[in-house]
Amino acid sequence: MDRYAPPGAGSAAGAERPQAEVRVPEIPGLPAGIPDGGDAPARHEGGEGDAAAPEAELTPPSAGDRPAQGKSPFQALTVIGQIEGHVSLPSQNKTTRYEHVLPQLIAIEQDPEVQGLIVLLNTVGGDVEAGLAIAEMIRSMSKPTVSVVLGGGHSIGVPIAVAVDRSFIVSTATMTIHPIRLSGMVIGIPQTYEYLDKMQDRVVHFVVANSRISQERYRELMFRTGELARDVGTILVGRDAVREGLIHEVGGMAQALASLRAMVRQGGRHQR
Amino acid sequence: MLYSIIPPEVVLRPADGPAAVLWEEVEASGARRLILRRDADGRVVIERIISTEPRDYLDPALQPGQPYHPGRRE
Repeated sequence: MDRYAPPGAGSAAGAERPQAEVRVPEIPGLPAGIPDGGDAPARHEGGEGDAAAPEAELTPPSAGDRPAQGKSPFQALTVIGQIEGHVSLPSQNKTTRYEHVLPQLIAIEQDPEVQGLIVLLNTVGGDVEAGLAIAEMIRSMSKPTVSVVLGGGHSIGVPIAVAVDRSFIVSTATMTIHPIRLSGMVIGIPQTYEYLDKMQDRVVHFVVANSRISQERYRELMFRTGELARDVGTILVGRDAVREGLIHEVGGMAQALASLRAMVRQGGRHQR
Repeated sequence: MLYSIIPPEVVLRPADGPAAVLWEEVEASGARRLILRRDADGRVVIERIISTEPRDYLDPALQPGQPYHPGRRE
């Protein structure tokens, strides 16, 4: 789920690209032959410009070279890097895009072969509304869902981690709880404070509603001083996240899959 | 609005220099998508799969670096 910012996509990256890079050459043989005859492919460029590209030497179609197989009963959604919102981020960012994730979740919900979802998180946070959209979609699924926080599940990754029926964190993973802020912006009017507060409330309310932590405690962790070098907030490592009631258990893949199987056997979702 | 442990000035910093590859994202079947690029020999190859199906990541034909077959239904 990388992102490759189209030129002039509204980001600082687009603004600085030379005009000559706006035109993107076609990859020969691709658009007309895309499987399914679906929508025109979204195009992303990395800046090669109009350099003449040699003709693709495509192997002839070979429809039979992939064995027929059904769906895995448990589908895996990876939430990595930055969760991208309405603006394409510069290409050095690894991102998760909601336009990929939301249709995947719909497909999982509707596919009768799929019995459950495992969400794997290693994210540094990202866009508030895109993150909440993904979290709400996961929360509203009828099939059993689990999450595993690996590496990190920070900032807007927290609501996604808790949106499932049963959440896990490996002992080495961390979750950073900190306030939403507009870095580098001079806040001159009270309405800006109110807007930030409202955005923050949406995150806090979702986390509190979908975990065992109280609102008071979550805000306390969010505004704690002395824990982070350059910010207010708290870093929860593995077991700390369980102790605070954010995450259900310390565990990895084996525990998460066992939990999914148990929920399927019981014919439903865990009580949160 | 960004809510991330990475400062916005780092997230939004323009990429350093032009990248050397051309990317194309195409829809395979269902919710699966493929990110394609052209390799040094001019072939269109698979760079990355975007899929929730774990088996896709075990399919030799869908491994990064494999040639993309536009006529085949993945």
